[in-house]
Amino acid sequence: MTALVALSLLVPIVAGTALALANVAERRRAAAVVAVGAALASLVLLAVVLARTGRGRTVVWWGDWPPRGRVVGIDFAIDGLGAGLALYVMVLALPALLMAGYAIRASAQLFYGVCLVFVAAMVGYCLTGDLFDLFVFFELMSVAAYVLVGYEVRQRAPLEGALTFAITNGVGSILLLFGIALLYGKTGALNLAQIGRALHEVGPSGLVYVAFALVATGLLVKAAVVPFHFWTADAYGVAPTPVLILLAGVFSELGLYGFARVFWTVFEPALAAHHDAVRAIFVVLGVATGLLGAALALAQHHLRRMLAFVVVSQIGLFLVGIALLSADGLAGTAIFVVGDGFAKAALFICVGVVQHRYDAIEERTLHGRARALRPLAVVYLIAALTVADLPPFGTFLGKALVEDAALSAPGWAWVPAVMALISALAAGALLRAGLRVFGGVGEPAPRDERFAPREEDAARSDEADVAVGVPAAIAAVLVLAALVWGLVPGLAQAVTDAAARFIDPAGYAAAVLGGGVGASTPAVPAVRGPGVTAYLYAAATLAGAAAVAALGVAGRRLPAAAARAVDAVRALHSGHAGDYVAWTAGGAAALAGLFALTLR
Amino acid sequence: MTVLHVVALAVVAVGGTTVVLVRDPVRQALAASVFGLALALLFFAFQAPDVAISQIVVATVAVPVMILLTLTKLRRDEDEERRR
Amino acid sequence: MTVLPYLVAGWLLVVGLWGVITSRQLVHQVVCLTVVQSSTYVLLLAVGYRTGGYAPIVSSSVPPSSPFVDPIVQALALTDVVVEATVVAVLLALTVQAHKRFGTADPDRLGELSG
Repeated sequence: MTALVALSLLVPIVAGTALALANVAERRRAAAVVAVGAALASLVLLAVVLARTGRGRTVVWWGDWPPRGRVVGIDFAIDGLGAGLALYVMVLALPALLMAGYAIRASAQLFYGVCLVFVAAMVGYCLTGDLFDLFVFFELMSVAAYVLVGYEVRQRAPLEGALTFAITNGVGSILLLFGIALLYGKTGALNLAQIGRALHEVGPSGLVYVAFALVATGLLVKAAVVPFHFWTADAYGVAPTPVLILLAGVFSELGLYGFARVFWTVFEPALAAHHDAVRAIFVVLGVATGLLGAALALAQHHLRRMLAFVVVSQIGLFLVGIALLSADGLAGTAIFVVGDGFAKAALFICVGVVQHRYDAIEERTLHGRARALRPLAVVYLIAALTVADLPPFGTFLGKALVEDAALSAPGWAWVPAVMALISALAAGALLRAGLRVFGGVGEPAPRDERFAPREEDAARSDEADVAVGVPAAIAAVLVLAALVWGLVPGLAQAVTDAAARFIDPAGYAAAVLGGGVGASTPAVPAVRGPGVTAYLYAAATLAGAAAVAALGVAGRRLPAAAARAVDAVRALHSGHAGDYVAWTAGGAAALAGLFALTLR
Repeated sequence: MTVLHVVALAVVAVGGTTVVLVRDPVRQALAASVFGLALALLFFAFQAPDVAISQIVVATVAVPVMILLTLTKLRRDEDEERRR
Repeated sequence: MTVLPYLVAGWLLVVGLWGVITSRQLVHQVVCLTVVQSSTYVLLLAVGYRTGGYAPIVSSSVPPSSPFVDPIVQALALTDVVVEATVVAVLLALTVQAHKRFGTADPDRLGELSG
């Protein structure tokens, strides 16, 4: 087992490093084969790890340093959700690497190399059981992402986006490490389970709140939760399409995974009496993120930035599911993340193809120009409907579980309605843009004064000769995957099982450290399939999305007051890394203050 | 806690502030180099010689050199622009 | 151990962040980021320091029963120093590229992305 886990990381890292070092500029195809082969090998290994972990936990102590009284070694503590997410990372790596053959022009082998290191770091991040190790993998995937986002260095916008992204996320990483150092000072431990036990003994204190706020900020910057989301549109607006598949599909979500993992292993034992306050803070934060992201997506006519804000809105929904602090909420989120990730990857591929073919990205400039791309339009439409909860796609199944979790949590019964509203607004923006670009329906989008007004100036009539077939096929497979994901028999119950183990800190500590009283198996809620309410919410979401899209293409504007408010919020996204860092620092301070006020 | 610690901490605090306040990038690179050296001395005082040594290599030599190289490159680009 | 090292670490964090927020020159901004980074080194080493402790190097000149400072934080700080240097290198490379292509290192004048 140790060898399996080690190889699943080492194969992509070694292959990636070799590709980056090898100077074989002419051998693009060979580089692609090596990269895809390494990803496939890692995928198979991770599948075996997941199968063998099954309903238990796999704990691997590197260098054979198991704890003897106190923890000295570094461990990977693998459970169903962690291994499943790692597997999903590798699944998404395949379309990303395949797309790279079409989208990346310069030094492709270097791109493949960095990409492999990027996914390997994400896998390590999913599996590790050590807080500092988590930070190192976090930093490795971040640095790889900075390089990948700015890969098209010959253009202006990608460089800017990469710089903003790197500075904002760099500050987030430092805050995370600061929090880790405080925790180590308090407990003398770096192992997640051991810190959890130590904090449980000392109980909450001012230092613990500050550490929690800093760690949460570092991870939520990655996740793009309000007010730490500012970098998203700038980075997603400019990154190459293959990178976007990974960024939108899993990178941001990993921030939330880290948050959930650290909360449930490190802080929950000390804050067990304060579930209500934690739930309130983070559900509200999630709802705010969802609403803001959806509103800004509606206000955008730059296709990639619009998609970036759709990503932000979905992140808000995921945070809500996690913050309900229940097994079914978490399980629903996990299913939702995967289904939604496939759909978003497909959407980014569609937009990338259109952008390359017509050399434009504004809804207004592209109006009706992509009529010829029928198959792509169909894929785009289904992917957009997947975001709007179309049964029986994976998003529907996941969201149904989250809705059940919210309805059974006293006081949070209003959450599913708001979630439906968020999905309807976000999917409405997607549908509106799709109808205009692929169908030429209705009025052209209004001229966007705030962003990229110069695009219209150049007359662009000639279409670039860009291959549509293969990218469209990859996108179609991704949409199909989102559909199949929702139809896997027994999925909801299996993931709920895994989630119940995930939110059981005592069991986790017992598996990692031995001893303890929590060796019992946690109670797993029985899961029903999506009920009538789930179908009602889905129908409302779909109807809402259609209505929003129809109003949009009819050229209906917002009332003046609302338009001014949206514009004021848009103005905050200034493109300055400094401003974004100010929001991050302020948000961290606000979180610490909130914790100190509410968690006592 | 000895006098050495207090002095080293004070120097580091003042050094960090100076690095931020110096707005001219070339002077800032020099300030950053001195700040890195102060940090290294602090690490020695904290009985961490290996961290101190790597800090000297990275923060007093490598990073300032990278900054100066960056600035030289920016200047040269600007000069070329002007000549054109 | 007094609180002074923690105060200094906190001060470096705050003053460095203030520098990053107010900076209007990319190179300057990156150097301010190194100040923020250094706050974590100070914090880590302060956390592991014990009054009168020796450096964690076992040799014949140090009696085996004498107190050592915590070696783990030193390993962490060492890793941290290297990781953060990588981040700075990537950022400076991006800055050079940005300047080379567009002739400015002033974030105000880049301004292609907003809203």
